[in-house]
Amino acid sequence: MKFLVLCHPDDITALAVAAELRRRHGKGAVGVISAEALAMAPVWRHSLAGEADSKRLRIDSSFRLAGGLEIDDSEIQVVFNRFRHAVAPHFQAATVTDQDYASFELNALWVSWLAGLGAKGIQVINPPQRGALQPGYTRLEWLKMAAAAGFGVARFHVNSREELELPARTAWRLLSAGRHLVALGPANAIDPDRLRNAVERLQATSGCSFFELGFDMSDGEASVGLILETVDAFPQLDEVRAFQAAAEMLAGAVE
Amino acid sequence: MILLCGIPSEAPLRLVIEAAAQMGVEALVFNQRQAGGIRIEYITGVEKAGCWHVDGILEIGGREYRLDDFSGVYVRLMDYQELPEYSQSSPRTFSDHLKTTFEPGRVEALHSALVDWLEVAPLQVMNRLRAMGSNQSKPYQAQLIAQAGFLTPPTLITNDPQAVQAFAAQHGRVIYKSISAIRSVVQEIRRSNWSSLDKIRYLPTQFQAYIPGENIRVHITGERVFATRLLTPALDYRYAGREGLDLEMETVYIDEELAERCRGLSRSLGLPLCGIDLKRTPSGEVYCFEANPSPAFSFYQEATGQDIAAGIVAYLAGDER
Repeated sequence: MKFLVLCHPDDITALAVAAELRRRHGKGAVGVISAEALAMAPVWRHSLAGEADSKRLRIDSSFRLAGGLEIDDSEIQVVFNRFRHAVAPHFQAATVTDQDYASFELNALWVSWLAGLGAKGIQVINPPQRGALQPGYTRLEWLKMAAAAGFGVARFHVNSREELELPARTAWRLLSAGRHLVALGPANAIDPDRLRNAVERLQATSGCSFFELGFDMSDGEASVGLILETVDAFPQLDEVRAFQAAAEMLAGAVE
Repeated sequence: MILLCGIPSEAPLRLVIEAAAQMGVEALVFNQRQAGGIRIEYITGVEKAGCWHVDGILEIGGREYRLDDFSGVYVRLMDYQELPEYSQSSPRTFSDHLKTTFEPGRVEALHSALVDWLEVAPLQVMNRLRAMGSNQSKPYQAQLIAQAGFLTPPTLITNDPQAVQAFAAQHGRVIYKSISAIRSVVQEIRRSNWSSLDKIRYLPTQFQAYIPGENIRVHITGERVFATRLLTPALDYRYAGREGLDLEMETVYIDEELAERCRGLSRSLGLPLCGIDLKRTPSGEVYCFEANPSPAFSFYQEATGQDIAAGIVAYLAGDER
């Protein structure tokens, strides 16, 4: 298996990217695993052990799904990580406390597993960060990083006694999928390549290569006043061009 | 000025407030139990010295303070939903009177706005929420700990009883504990209760080779290092009292190389305040188990006299001489 897609069952974007990968690389090259299936896996083994004569850790993982499919680290070449959170469907009848405990425990296991893959040089897009399955940057963190990367960014007025954030006025969207930049929505005059340097800097700073940028064009002109309003590392996409760009990004990661 | 966030009567925050007073450092307390009287307001994206910046005010007790006037923030926030003033299920008591002065949504907005600001503010923060996340997964944090040059115990996370038996055959004594940050009592798995291993089929569990030796807890506050030796026959020293076992705590010297490795771990985790759990084996090897991002340091300070709270204040005030 070249490509492993991790997603929730209702993640249309991930499923469409997986379909595109299958179309290009064949059915056997792509595995799609839901959070539910991973949580219910009858066998999980994840080990960390110091390597002889060094303080480096050797991290090995394998699991067997209920259908019998067995996967270990050596079979995975790239992961498209669309997990937002862990689930524990087999604890549905348990108390809320026990359900939460099971979810936290599975989250902790999956974060360590994916981090271990990254340490072996297997690309995980987007990787878990700081104990969470998704990068989880706040809007302010994204905007701060984006400003440092060279974007013009929106100002927000925050008042704890009033509404927290102004609604986004997104007029133009850009998908970052590795080196592939795709203008989303109605076609307009903006050339995505104009933002390539800033996007690449933002990818490097954030550790994410797959995200959607939302811009406001304050004066209605595409050529000026391009102000970044939002960054979403979990974009919901509905355009074939976007699925193709994601598939190319993942294929590029295994080359 | 420094900002201290949490519940002032809770021991760690109380000690930091007292230390600031003794050191003559001006400190403002963000008391979660009086959230109705607190407001934070700011504008993001203001340019300052060519950089993206947040400009605004914090209003406490009817007085406004500029966010830029704070040099550092100590964050010891409790889950406000657990506090009686804001709990939906709390009985109608005096706290209900307090509740009438604000809406629950405002408390949430206040905490969100505060935490969002702290994540991006160019201040000394002990600790930022994002950095604290590494502790949500102990094996993930173990990977970072190993990168910082520490030994970590051989670990197996599994829901396969046979794999546990093989692991135990390889390592001898084996303990088990939670994988996540949810606190659990460290327990030993014994051959006599291997039959209970079937329970792990429902949920993968973390097993580790037992590491013999003395427990050392190291607190880092910026550059300062406070080490405590814990002597107890208990497997998990935190619960020695519950098991009716003795626990002795004393300040212990650690050499500069180990102290610097602990500082390095603190830096790499982005946690200028942390409690690092070490074990020194009879042969002198040092294993690291975890770095606690919100240590209840008062337990150690009150037992040993180490002035950890003063270390926190010095860091926040930018004066670690």
